[in-house]
Amino acid sequence: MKRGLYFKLAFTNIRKNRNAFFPFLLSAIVMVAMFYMLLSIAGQSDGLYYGAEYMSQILGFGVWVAGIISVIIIFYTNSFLMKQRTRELGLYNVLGMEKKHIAKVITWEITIVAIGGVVVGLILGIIFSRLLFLVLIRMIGLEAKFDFFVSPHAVTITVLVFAVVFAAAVLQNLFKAAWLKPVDLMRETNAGEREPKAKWLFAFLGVIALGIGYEIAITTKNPLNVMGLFFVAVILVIIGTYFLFVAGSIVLLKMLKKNRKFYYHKTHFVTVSGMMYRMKQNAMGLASICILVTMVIVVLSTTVSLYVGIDDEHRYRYPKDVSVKVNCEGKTLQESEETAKQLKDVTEELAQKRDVSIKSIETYFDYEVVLLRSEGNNYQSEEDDDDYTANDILAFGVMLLPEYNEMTGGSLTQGGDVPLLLTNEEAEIDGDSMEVDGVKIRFQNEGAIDEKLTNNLYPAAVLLLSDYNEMAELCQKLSERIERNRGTLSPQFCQKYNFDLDGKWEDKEAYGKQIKKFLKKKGIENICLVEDYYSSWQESIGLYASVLFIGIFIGSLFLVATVLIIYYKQISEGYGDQRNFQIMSKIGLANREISHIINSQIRMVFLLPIIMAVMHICFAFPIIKNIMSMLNLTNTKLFLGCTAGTVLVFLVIYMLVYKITSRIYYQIVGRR
Amino acid sequence: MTLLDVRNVKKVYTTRFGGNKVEALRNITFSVEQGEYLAIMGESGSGKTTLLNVLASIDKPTDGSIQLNGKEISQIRDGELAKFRREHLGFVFQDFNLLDSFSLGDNICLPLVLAGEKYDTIAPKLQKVAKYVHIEQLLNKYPYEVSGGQKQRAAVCRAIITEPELILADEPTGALDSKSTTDLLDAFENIHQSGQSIVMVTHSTAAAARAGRVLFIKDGEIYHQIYRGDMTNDMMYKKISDTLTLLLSQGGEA
Repeated sequence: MKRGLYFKLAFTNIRKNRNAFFPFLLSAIVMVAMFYMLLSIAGQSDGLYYGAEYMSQILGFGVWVAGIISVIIIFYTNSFLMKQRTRELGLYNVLGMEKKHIAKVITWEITIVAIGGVVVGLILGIIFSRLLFLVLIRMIGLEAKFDFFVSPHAVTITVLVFAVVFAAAVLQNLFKAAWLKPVDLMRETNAGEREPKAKWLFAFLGVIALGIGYEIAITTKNPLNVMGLFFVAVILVIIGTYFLFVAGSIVLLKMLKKNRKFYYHKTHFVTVSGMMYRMKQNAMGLASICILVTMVIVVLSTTVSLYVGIDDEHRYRYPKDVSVKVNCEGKTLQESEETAKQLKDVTEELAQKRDVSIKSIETYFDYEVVLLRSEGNNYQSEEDDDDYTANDILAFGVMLLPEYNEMTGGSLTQGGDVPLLLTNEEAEIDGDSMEVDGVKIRFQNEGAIDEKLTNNLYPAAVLLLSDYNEMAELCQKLSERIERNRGTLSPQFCQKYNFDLDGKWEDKEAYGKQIKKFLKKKGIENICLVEDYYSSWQESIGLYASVLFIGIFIGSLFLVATVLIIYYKQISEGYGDQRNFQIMSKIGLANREISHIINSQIRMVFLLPIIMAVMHICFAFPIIKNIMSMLNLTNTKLFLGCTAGTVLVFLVIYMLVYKITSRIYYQIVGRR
Repeated sequence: MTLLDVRNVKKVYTTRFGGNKVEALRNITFSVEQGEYLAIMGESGSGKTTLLNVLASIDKPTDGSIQLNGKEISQIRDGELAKFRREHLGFVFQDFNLLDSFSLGDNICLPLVLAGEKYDTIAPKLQKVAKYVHIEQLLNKYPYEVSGGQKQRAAVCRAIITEPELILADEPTGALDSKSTTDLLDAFENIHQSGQSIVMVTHSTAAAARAGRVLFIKDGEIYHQIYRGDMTNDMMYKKISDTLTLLLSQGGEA
């Protein structure tokens, strides 16, 4: 009987406070559903195809992130709800309810939300997980039938995780209720408002942190530490954002207030002073919205462009459909040419079998080694534990001049008897000679390497020799020295045989899968490497599709968090402003004028975070572009387009949220 | 010269369920002269707050006419009511109704700023009204930093800064201690002496004793009125208490 009473009371409370509880329930449902879906899809995707474990791993990582975000959202919402209701609970206490009874009511309330959220969330999750799984499969390019599937494992974990989270939320509330005296319970929401002080120091620090963060984002080009610096920049920008919202906004408003011409103006007057209090209470919320919005946009734009640009990325990794590398150390030119002929015959033979044709063959001799600058033009071969910066690295290649000309369509000629040296933008090699592990190489500096052969991320140089024997001799000498000095496996002087395929996709894929074995079977010796575009395509698309998938998931969760914060901010501000606007209407302000003022105030509060977020995105663009090019996405236009698109879509969603939540705000403010 | 002319005003409320009609004001007729200080007294539920709301154009009378300076209030369109209130009336409320986010000075300036006046013209007016009620030193303080009496005096300043034809005060001393009440009533007297017309609804005999005339309302009708004539505040006080006692005893009989 008694038990029923508390349950009933809790239920009525939820109904009465539905403005606050309903979004809590809704977000709980969304989070449970998403968590379950990710978990179940991660479980299903393992073993889908060769290389699917990557995808499963990425999805599993996504489950973690989703879980953490959900916990944060639930705790945020829960503490907001408690804060809103302290008065109500205080009243219960004063009216004679003991704290343990209040505790029961609170516990029931959260339990109802938890049960509702988990049950409905699981049902939706089960319905949509299969659908989403099919979407994912489609994105990868595989076929699958729609059938109903419930993952007991995922259900169990979801229920357990959210049970623990909600239990913790209940504890948080009980702790808070037990700690407060009835007087405090009654007082908390109308605690006296003081005009905030201008914290110049923090505002200044905020500007500095933001400035340094932006500076890092714009200037960092060095690919080795770009990731590390990116995180430094992110943290600086986050700190800067919080400081600016918390302290900078108030400093700015104080300055506006000091300017009497500006301040004593019909709309500015109420807005500036209202904003001052609003910023005091909501600066943290606004800064969080700004950070979340930035994250949503970054996550979505990067993952979308990685997925959309998959052709580019995969092609960048595999410039030719098939690439064969044969060691030709100790071979004469004749022997090497013989090998090339053999390769041609064997690859053609398989091509006929697989019903594809071979085109744009490219064959050349090649020697590649990564060097480190010891001083000036002196270089050593790389060693793993060396402490170096990206500028000291040199990707050093040796090629034959005629073959280089053929590949690039250039017409370089050797002036004297010294070979030509080409470098990219990053490399700084002056003079006319260099040393590599003690081997002196003389050269004539001849300008830039052709764009096709360098990515401009690391310093690179190519030495162009005119004669096979000369190249063989130099490479042998270098390899010997490297092996002796370092004891590591030396790079190999080898012959590359690359070509593209024409034909149906399945045939090309089959060709790619068989070529390595076929070459061995036909007795080609010393093969170091066989790579093809097609057999790893599935792996690549699986990777990028799951990255996008996770991106959308996490982006949506961030979005849920953003919307919730905005919503609750509007509600609490609505209650806060209710009295102010009643007063203004009493002393003769027409409703129309009041809405005008409210509008300009709400709009400003709403636009601030997103304007700041867009600014963050603009400054972050160069460094993210840099990171993307390390992930083989070099198509800046594509990335720019995806970012702009994401920002636009997000703006539309944001405006919708604005419309909906400000309506609730008006309802509260207008209530008499 | 008649400033406010109230004729045969009725106000009937219909309860939400059952359609019972409650007559809050039955047949109120009185007028306020230019520069007069009128107090309206009555018990709780006698209709005095309804009367004030009707005078303030916050509520519309069911019947009858109210003219301010010859202009019929009930004829003013809803869209212009707010402007009318802002330009012609000044309000003082029991619970001050100051905005916490403004200093006292800014609270006082609020109506003028909202009316679009420039700071240069506002500033001298602010100094002038602050002097009347002796809060010149408090203009930069915030409502939470000052006492109730000081808040109420600021509210009075806010009411008079627009130089309204009429000040309507609703239980202005209701939330104040006796010292603050005296200060506030002094302030009212001060502004009254400068020529300001005031209508004050009050419970407090002390407050009413400062007025030039006191109207007593009972059950929605004007029951009695007292003119000060040559009476001192003390004599006025005595007379009002006697009337109230009479009012109470007759109310008991009825």
